[in-house]
Amino acid sequence: MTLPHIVTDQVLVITIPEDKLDASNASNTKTQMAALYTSYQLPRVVLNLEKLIFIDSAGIGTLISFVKSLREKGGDLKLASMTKPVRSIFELVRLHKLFESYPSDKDAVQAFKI
Amino acid sequence: MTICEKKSMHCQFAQELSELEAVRAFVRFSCDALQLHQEPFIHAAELATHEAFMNIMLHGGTLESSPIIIECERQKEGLSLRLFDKGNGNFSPKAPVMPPPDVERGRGLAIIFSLVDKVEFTQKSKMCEWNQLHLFKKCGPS
Repeated sequence: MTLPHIVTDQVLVITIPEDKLDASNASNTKTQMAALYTSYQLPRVVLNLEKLIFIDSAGIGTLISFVKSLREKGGDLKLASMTKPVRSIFELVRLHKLFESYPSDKDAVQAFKI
Repeated sequence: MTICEKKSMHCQFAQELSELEAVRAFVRFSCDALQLHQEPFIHAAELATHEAFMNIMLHGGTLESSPIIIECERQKEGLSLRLFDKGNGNFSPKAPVMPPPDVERGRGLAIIFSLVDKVEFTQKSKMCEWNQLHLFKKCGPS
């Protein structure tokens, strides 16, 4: 299964379709995100998290791994539509210092233009 | 699952990744049944238990066929979460430092210690006994 995605203004926007990103699906999600990058060769990526309400240490590791690989290629990963429970975990593990987060896909895509 | 006078509940889980969702659902259901309704509290209890379950699965030295039992108990000042397993692993009582944001691994224990107020590990002394990992989270003001 491919993750839902669109390309807008040369930015790859990927949606996490499940309400969880944990040890049970983190590896598969990581593989699919990497496959989408390989297909489009677009290192500027927005990840829509509007459906995500639970993330664990394995899910966090997946996002860190992906953002590091994009930055090595001169790109970046911006997050959009983060829910309250996920934001609280990001703040707990100080991940908000690593990722820029925006209220919507549109805002995150726009931020790449600045 | 067993309910004892609505003060404690316990449930047995197989050591499988597919059980993680059931573990969280059990903690959420227990919090509700034990009259703990604050969403941030429930989410913290879910995540702490989830990470503890994962830690036992990965580092507990248990046979895959051996179950993990989780008990939720309402106490006067908060919620006790006890995880029982039969493995040969150990558990450091010292809170680890949260890894820097760009480090991919090693957050599980730090998350547990950040989310609950007390972490205690009692190692079994005989093969037939159970290890007990006890997490306690205080209730905030309602």
